Amino acid sequence: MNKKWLQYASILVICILVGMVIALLMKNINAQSLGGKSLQELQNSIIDYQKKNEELNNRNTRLYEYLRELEAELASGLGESYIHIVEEKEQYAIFAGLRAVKNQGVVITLTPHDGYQMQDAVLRQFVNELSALGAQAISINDERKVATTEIRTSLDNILVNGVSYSRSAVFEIKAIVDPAKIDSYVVPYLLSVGDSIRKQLADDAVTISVRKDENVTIPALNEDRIAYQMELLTPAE
Amino acid sequence: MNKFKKWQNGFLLILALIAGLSVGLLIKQALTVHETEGPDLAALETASLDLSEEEARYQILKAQNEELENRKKVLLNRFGDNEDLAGVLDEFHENALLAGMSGVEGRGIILSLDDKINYDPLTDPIESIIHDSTINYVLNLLWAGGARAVAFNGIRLTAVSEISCVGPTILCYGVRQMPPYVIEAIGPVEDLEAVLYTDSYLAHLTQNKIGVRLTVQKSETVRLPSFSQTHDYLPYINWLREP
Repeated sequence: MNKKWLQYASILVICILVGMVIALLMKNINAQSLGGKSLQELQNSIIDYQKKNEELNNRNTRLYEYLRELEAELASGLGESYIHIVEEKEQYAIFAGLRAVKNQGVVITLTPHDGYQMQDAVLRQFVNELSALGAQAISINDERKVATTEIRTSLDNILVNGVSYSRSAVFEIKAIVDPAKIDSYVVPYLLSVGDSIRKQLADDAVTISVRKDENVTIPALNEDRIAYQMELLTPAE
Repeated sequence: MNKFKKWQNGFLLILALIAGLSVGLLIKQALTVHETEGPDLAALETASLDLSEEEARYQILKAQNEELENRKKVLLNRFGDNEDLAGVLDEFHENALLAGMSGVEGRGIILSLDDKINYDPLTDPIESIIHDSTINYVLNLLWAGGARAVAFNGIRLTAVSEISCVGPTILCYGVRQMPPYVIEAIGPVEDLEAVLYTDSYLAHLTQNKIGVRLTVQKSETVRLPSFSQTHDYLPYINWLREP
């Protein structure tokens, strides 16, 4: 009889142990299901998604209104549809850099000293910094920066949109940025970038000036530039 | 009698298992209470749930956006029947293509950039991790190689491509990006490969000492999304005025 109870007791103990192991495993699975991410990483991801969702939501709301107007106009004849389509077409042209634009902005002038040849990396650094600062239109020596713009050295020249500029000549970068941030942030920041570049290049290589301009005009992309060639692109269905 | 004993044994077994699970769960709860001093599991779980909700919302909005864009295409095609509007619509589509506001496809390459495996900030050079400057450098190479359209981690690049860095994190149009960084480009494949393979800085980054991981694949059909599939374009032109 005692042996029998001992048997039961040992089965009981083993089952309890198995149960505990399963429960602890479940806990681990729970922890793994969080992807091993830290709280900070999760919160960052949430913020990113919130930002993306807000943008998409705004875009969808605008699209929805636009479509309602188009549908109403289709139903009642031509009406104002012409105006809506032309308006959006022009907004796309501005976004693509196909129209000249103006507003307050900054002008960066890079003057190489005797014997120094400008590096494409210096121009790219300023252009990238301006893009990161939220510049909405940028030009390099009046050559509009568009999606396909390259800035690269070719022997004694720097090519921008396929146009050559002498590396010993003055380069002028213009940009239209948030007017509210020009004095407080954009100009001081670009000056610090300029200082850091000058230190890397040796002080006497190039003079860098950064100034605010109340009336910056950025020209449209010239129609003979390579950006206009779209034969390799097929609109996706 | 023997059969009854077997049932009894089985029942006892199940009971013991349930008891074991309960004890285990009790211990788990007790441990969770103790762990509040360390990583906050409850907060992690809440954040994880919030993230799932936001991801689900994003998928819904994306689907809505696709549906609306398709409806817009259909409506604009109907306007195309009108002779007065046909020319305007052609220009509309051309501008959309140049602005990155329409999805495109074509021959191209898919490039992936990743940090050095097991990057150690104490022993590895700073170049071993990918920076915004690395991405911008590669993009410039691709444009110089004749790329006609490019997407970075699924976001179509436009005339105002904002790629920046906040600490170790790369942002594209304000959205955090994680490695591996995938750049898809439509253009003359051979030229694009040539500029990448002959570039001395990329060769330097990919040597064993630096350890940046770079892969380049050719593709007969690279499909790039429209910028409008991920972002609203109007906030990117709101300070621009006509001269």
